[in-house]
Amino acid sequence: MPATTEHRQRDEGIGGVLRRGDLLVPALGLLILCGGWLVRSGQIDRTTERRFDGGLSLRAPASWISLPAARGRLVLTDVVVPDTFKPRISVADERLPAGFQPAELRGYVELNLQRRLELFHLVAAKQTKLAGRRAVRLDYAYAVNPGARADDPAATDVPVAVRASTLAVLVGERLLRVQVKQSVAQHRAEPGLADAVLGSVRLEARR
Amino acid sequence: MSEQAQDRKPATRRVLWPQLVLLLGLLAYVGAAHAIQRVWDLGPRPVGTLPALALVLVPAAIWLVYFYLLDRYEPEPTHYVLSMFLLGALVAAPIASWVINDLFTVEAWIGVTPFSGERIAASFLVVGAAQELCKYVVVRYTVYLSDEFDEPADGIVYSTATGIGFATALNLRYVSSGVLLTVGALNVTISTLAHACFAGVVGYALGLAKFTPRGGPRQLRLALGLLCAIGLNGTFFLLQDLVVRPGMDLRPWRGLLLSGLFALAVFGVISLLMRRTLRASPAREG
Repeated sequence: MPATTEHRQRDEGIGGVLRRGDLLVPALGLLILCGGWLVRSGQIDRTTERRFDGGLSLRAPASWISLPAARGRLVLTDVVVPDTFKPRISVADERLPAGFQPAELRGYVELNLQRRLELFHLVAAKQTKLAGRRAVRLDYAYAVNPGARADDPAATDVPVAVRASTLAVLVGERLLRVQVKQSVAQHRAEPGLADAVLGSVRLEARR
Repeated sequence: MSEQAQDRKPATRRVLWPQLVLLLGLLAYVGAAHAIQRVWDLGPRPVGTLPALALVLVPAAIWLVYFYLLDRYEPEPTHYVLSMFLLGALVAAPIASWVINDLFTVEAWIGVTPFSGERIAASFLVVGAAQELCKYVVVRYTVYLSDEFDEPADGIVYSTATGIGFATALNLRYVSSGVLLTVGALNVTISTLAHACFAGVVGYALGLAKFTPRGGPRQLRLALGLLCAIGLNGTFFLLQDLVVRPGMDLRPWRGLLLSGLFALAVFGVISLLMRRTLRASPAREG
């Protein structure tokens, strides 16, 4: 069938091709993509408030999901990060040992981390207050093996260096801890995450 | 019609048996992947370069021949069809992937809840739009302008070839990331068919538009074709997402079933559209 509406192709270069090129249709496609960009702009930095039993709340990236965790714990993670180590925010509540002195808070939290974490390295420590309560923030690094499994000692993987920050708050005889951890690579890509999350932590006023 | 095209005699082909053989070939391909997985007891793993190429090229070749055979009255030059396949794989797919993954960073904000508002918006407004726009541009500004594009059915033939090339490039990335062989083979087969059919919808519109008389609803036809393809692509993305989302508690069979049924339904529509354009083909009388 001969083309009834199209001119024969002549060597007119890209300008000639585009002039005869139904540019309204690609423009429609680009318009739809602009709509997508607007949705993205509204979502990309969106955070949602997450509440914890002890009257604590924080703001976390909206796309992060809550993982099943033991009672008294809240764990949020970004499962779509392609790395084996997924960034996490965890909130835990523990009863303090008898005879605990509030002045020992920093040492107690640091010692606890040091005991549990491989190659623990303290980067910074700061005494602070949250809703009038004594608190401490520790920034540190450690190594973890994401492939390690308790049921299979042979399972292993290349260790990952992790950057983490913990905010510990004294609430009566309990200690509330909020921890944000990322692999070093993730931390470099998004260095403000810990500050944003820990800065959003709120605690209900004393009851 | 070019002199070369005029010299070629319209050749009506018998296509039913070859197409049946091709569909059986697809079943054999999936069966072979399943047998290999069972015999060697293979879990989800990244596939090496050569096996990955085989895994994506076999269904691509079968679907390419299948759609090529649909144009039974005046077959298009094979090198044109292969060129469109390559343009789909080497131009449209990389650009669409860059737009979706790097420019829009879709994975970072669509979350993981199936059918959530942001996921639906991203499926249609970003993934569907970027992929179908890239396929459209590749066909519209290359073969559409040539004298070989000389009947409405050619739009479907060239566009499906572009869609198959497009899917091949995406599938290569998918199987290289680590798959269960049976799920991977089925998903590759289904997504190749799906992308071919979505591009076929745009191709049908391009075929109609090219032969719309001056003053006719040419832009409208093209726009509707693109919008339909974006809608179908977005729906497929939502369904297929249940198969390929990493790091979650997946039920790939449910996703495969849904996306497979959806792709088959679109395939049925494309077959009907092709039959319709062929009935009106001037080469049929020749």
